[in-house]
Order: sequence, then C-alpha cells, then structure tokens
Amino acid sequence: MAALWIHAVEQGLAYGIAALGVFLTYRILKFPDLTVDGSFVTGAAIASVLLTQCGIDPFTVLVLAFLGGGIAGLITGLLNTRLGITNLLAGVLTMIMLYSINLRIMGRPNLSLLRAPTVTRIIEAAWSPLGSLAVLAFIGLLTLAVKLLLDGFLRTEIGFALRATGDSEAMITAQGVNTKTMKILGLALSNGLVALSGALVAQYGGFADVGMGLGTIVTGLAAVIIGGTLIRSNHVGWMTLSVLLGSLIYRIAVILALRYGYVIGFQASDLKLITALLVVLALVVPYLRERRLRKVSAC
Amino acid sequence: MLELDRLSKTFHAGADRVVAIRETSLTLADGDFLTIIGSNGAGKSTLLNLIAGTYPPTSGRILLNGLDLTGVPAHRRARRVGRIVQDPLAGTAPSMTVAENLALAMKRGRRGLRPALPRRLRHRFQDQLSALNVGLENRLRCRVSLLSGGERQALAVLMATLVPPEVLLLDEHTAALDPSNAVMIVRLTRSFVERVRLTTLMVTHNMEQAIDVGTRLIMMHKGEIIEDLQGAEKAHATVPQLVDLFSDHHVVDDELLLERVF
Repeated sequence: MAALWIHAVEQGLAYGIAALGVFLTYRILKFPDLTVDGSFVTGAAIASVLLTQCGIDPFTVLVLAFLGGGIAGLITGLLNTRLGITNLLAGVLTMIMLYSINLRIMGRPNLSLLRAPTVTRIIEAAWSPLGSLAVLAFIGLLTLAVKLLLDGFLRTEIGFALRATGDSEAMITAQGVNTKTMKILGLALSNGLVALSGALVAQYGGFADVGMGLGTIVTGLAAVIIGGTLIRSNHVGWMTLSVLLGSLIYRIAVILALRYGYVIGFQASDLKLITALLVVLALVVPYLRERRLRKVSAC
Repeated sequence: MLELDRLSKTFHAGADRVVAIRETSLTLADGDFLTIIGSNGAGKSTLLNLIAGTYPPTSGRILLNGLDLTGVPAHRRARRVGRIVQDPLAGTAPSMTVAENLALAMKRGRRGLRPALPRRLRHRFQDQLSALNVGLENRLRCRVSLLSGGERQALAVLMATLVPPEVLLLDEHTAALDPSNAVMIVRLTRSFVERVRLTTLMVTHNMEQAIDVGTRLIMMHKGEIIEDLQGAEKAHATVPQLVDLFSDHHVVDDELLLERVF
C-alpha cells in the first residue's frame, strides 16, 4: 500500500511539471494551448532515442527534451502571432505535426527503456540509503527546482511583462512591450516544461509511446483548476504550488479510481472521459453561477 | 514638438469607406496642453490612436521632436508616448497588484531578467502614491481588480507619468468616472502635466472641462479641425460660445445640446 502512495506522489510531481506548463499558457497568458498533447510526447521521444541510441547522459537528456519542447511552442507561437492563425487552431496544427515528427524521432510507435540507464535507475543506485524513497526525493527536488525557477522568472521584468500580456494587451503595449514576442516566449517556455515532464515520465515509466501525450492539456487543466480551488491567491509562488498540489490530488484520485473503481463499474479506459467531465464541471460551475446571478440582477 | 503633417486615416476600402481623419495638420510646441472636442465620429480618438501607433495612417507623417514615428509600432513608441484610456480596466493589469503595475510602468524600454520589483522600488512607489492623496499608499499589495474605477484611473495617471513621456495622450480618461472622481483625476492630471510641462492631448466630451483645462482647444468634425482656439481666445472662451461655434459649422446634435445643460 505504501508503494502505491509513493507511486502516486511520484507521478503527481512528474506530471506536475507539465501542469506548470499548462498553467503558464492557460492561466498566465490566457492562451488555451493544445500543442502540449504533442510536445509531451516530443520530450519522451527525444529522451528515449537519446538514451537508447546515442548513449547521452540521462540528466542532459532532460535539458535537451526541454529545448525540443521549446521549439514546438515556438512554432505554435509563430503560427498564431506572425501568421494570424487563431490560438486554438495554431495549437492543434502543431500538435498534429508533432504526431508525425514524434514518430520520425522514435522511428516506431514505442520504445522501451528497460535496458537504458535512466535517471530513476541512476538515482536508485546513487541514493540507495533512501531506499524506496530515493526516486521520490529526486523527482520532488527536480519539480521544486522547476517551480522555484518559474517563480523567479515570473518575478523578473520580462516575467512581469508576460503576466501583463495575459491580463491586458492594450495596456502592456502602451508600456512598451511587444505582446507577440511575449506570447511566443510563453508558449516556448510552457512547451519546454511539458516536454521536460514527458522526458521524466518516460524515464520513470521505462518506455515512450507515441500516444502517451493524449489528454495532456486536460490533465494539466484538471491540475490547474483543482489547485486553483484549493489555494486562491494571486501570489506567483502560491499559484505554482497550487498547480503542483492539484496535480498530486489528481494523480491520487486516478490511482484510487483505477484500483477501486471497478466496484462501481469503472474501467481503466474510462479515465479520459472522467477527467474531461471533471474539467467540464469545473469550467461550467462558475459560468452557471454567474449566469444565475445575472438573471437575478436583471429582474 | 509634435507635428502631424497632412495626416489621413481611411477605414475599410470600397463602398464601406469611412474617412476618419482627413488631411489634418497640427503642430504642438513643448508644454502645450491641447484639449480636443467634437461630436461622435469626429475623429478624436482616431487621432490619438494614430499618434499612439495603434494603427498606421493612410497617408501623412507624425513627427515627435524631429523623429519620424509614422511607421514605428506602438510598443516602440511607448517610451515617448504615454496614454490613458477611458476604460479604467483597460489601462491597468487587473490581476496584478498596485506595486506590480507601477513596476511595469517603470520599464518603458528594454526589459531583462532583473527582479521587477525590488524593495527600494516599493518604498518609492509608496511615497509617490501618498502624493496622490487618494489612499492608495497602503494598498501596494492589493490586486488592481479590487480597486474602484477612480482609484484605478488615479493609478493609470501615475503609471503614465512615472517615467515622463514626450507626449501624453488622454482619451476621455474621466468619462467613465462619477463626477467627484472625475474632478480628482483632472486635478491629478493637471498637477503632473504642469509640473513637468508635458506636451498633452486630451479628448473630452465635456466642454466645460475642455475650456477649463489646458492651453489650447481644437474642435473636430468629420475628420477635420474646424476650430483652433489659443491664448486669450481660449482663456476667455465660454460653453455657449463653443456651442455657437458648433452650430456655425452645422454640427449641433442632441448630444451637444445635452452637454450644454450640464
């Protein structure tokens, strides 16, 4: 049972990095970016190929996956800001392009990392005194480092400009910021984080699969929304913490549902449906509440 | 010095063609405070949008202190051209705090990876907000979305003048406020503008305000400047006189008559 909980927390943290990426576009930039379903796999694909075929150090691989995801975000950003394609469509187009590109990178639909020297294996060996908590400690530290770096970035002059871009484009343009550049930067950073998460999940899970990114946007949104209802704050540090917390709770719920869901007739394959319905619910409730209020005030 | 040289702006081509600004030339000396009045569709806001770079003119040139701004994108003009818009929501970043908004306004030029809001800036902002005398000095950490319209607009005035621009554009920036807040914002605007002798263009619907504030007054109609009052002529102008001027140009409409009542 303890192993199950450790597993849930590890997953929650590893996917939490992707959720931070979704947070950056959805919450900060107010740009619903669907690229992430593709860039998550791009990260996993880059990691698995570099590990199995190029023998590159697994920690360096994480950085390279981040850069690969950044390029994917850059493409969505260019499609949207320079070529005038709407934000949703730009993301979908890049996501579809990435499907083919990810297959090209991997060479086949899935790659096993069973024999590769993944970060989890290296950490298990290096931090053996920690026993079964070694991997958890590593993923926890890595996620925390990513969170703190993101917090720090959002407090810089450029970070402020990025936040204001999502708030009011007219206003921040009047303060001398090119909002197009900010959107491209935000999308690149966001997809970099998502790809980093994909690379981590692949190494942790021991495989990369071309379909593993399906629903990244929805699980990311679930984490952002769950976290946002638990911690209501406009302080950057609290907001990113809430996203990680949301991701943890979501993963725990998933693992419990997979383990005990059969009692009420759930199958593993129902997971995406339930996640999406959860996000629908979270998005619809505030909308309906507001509409009801408006009706009352109209009377 | 701000020079508008035969500026024209046409929206839509073909049958829907709307000429918003027609061959308009205007020269403002440093420290001039111009008020602009005119009926709806006269081209007042379009004129400010052209100066701010929201869109390019169809023809003509915009020169600011000898520099040709005509093709320069809006965000690159921001260091020279400050602006306050009518909607208090649009002029500030609502999800960010008062201090964060001020920090955004400190950096009109290049932005880097330095911390945007170091402690010394907070202290400085606190002093500057105290000087506004609207009670914002203790609300530095408050989200702007929680402020009232008047408080937000006061913040916008401070933001536009924190790093003094070469020209300040005020686009009916008191129109969305209640009368007491409007008076407060006009007081703040005047004190800033007069202290640094800022070249300013203010669009207003309120004729009283147009006469009361500033050093020069122009009246626009259908994209052209139809009256230009300066010096003593401006100083001694009255609202009935302005209405008469409007009717001389056959631009009296219900709205103008309504404003006369107030």
